[in-house]
Amino acid sequence: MAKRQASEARHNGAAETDRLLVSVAAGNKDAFSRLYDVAAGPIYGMACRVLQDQGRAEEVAQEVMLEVWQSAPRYRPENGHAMTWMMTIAHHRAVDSVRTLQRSAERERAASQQEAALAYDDVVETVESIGEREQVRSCLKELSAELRQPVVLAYYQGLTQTEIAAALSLPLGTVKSRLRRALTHLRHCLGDPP
Amino acid sequence: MITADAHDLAGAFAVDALTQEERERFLRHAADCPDCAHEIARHQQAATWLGLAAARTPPPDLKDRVLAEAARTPQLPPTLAAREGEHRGRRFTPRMLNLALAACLAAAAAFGGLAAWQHQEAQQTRQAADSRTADFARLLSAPDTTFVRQDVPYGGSGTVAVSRHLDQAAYFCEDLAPLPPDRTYQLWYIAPGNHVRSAGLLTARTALQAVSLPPPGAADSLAITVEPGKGSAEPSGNPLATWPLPAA
Repeated sequence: MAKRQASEARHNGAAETDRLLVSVAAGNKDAFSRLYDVAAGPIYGMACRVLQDQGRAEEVAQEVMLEVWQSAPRYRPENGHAMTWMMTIAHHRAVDSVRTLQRSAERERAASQQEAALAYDDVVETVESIGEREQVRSCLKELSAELRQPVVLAYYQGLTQTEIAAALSLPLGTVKSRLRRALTHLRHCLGDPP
Repeated sequence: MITADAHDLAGAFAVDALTQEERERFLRHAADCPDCAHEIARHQQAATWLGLAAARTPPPDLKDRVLAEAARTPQLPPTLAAREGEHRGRRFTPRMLNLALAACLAAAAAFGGLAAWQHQEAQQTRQAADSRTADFARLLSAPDTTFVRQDVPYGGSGTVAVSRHLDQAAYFCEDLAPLPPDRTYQLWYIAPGNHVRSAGLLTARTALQAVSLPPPGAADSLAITVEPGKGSAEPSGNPLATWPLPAA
């Protein structure tokens, strides 16, 4: 019952965020202010984790929110939820930024087996244990380490599949298929995002 | 890259684990892959959860800066495809593929992560995909591609897409008014010093058309005229419309 209510609340939240973005597309500044309140935390927090630098994460969050404002007229609600749309833009921007700042060779060196394990522990232990984050945490924990490590290195550290293969001493094809399997598992475990 | 291999990249794409080159290759594959769009969308939803789980309260003054910057920043127009849907109030049809794809890939170029998103829309209309698609995809996904739209008197409107970097251009038009059988529309490149050369012929028809143009080179505008027979070596009258092209 509680799970169903949570799912309904999430659905309503998603629909509300979609409506806000549609209002923003019409130039509504008040809607943009409210959309900021919903989206800035996830965007900033994700960027902090990818960039490991609060100042740069703030710059990325600012750029992404402005991009959301500018390109809102191109959002099509029938194709999916606003939050996924915004987080897709934001993650791409954060990863671009971290790759520009670090040379690939350094990144491969840094991403040793040991650090891969640390990265996972760091994520799982520091994700706050409240509400939906707890769900993400428990779904990540359900993944076997071999599926979890590639997706954590890609999403939270911005490594390319080639870098992940080097870091984990795996063939590239294995990394590709583990990324797909991990994402499929997470989606089954978590359902549609808000 | 073989197809099966490219298809396997959907997960890596959704978590941005591809290099720019791999990403472009995957998008070219995805433009012709009905299953990819759905798979990408599903993976992006899962990835969104990973981002939400990392949420943190941003610095309090960030909001003021964002709102102030938005207040002085104009919004982009909707994509051509989005505008089409609004005005006509109808669903996409196969003949709109090229514009949908254009819109999709232009957005991809401008907004990176949006690619797969808008790609779903193109997928719905992909039945009419043909060999031109790869050329268009290359042009429309180039980072510097610019779109210039003009109304053509008696002839609907036309949009030219130009990448100076690729030295490639394409022309998209709709509702081009019918002509007598012994007349044709012709496009022209105009370079500084009034150097004019043909950029090709257009068929009069109401359907959307997407036409690859020759390399623009030094041209700084594109013009359309009505010419006799199978076209002319030089324009025989004043242009119906002229599109300024972005500086090289």
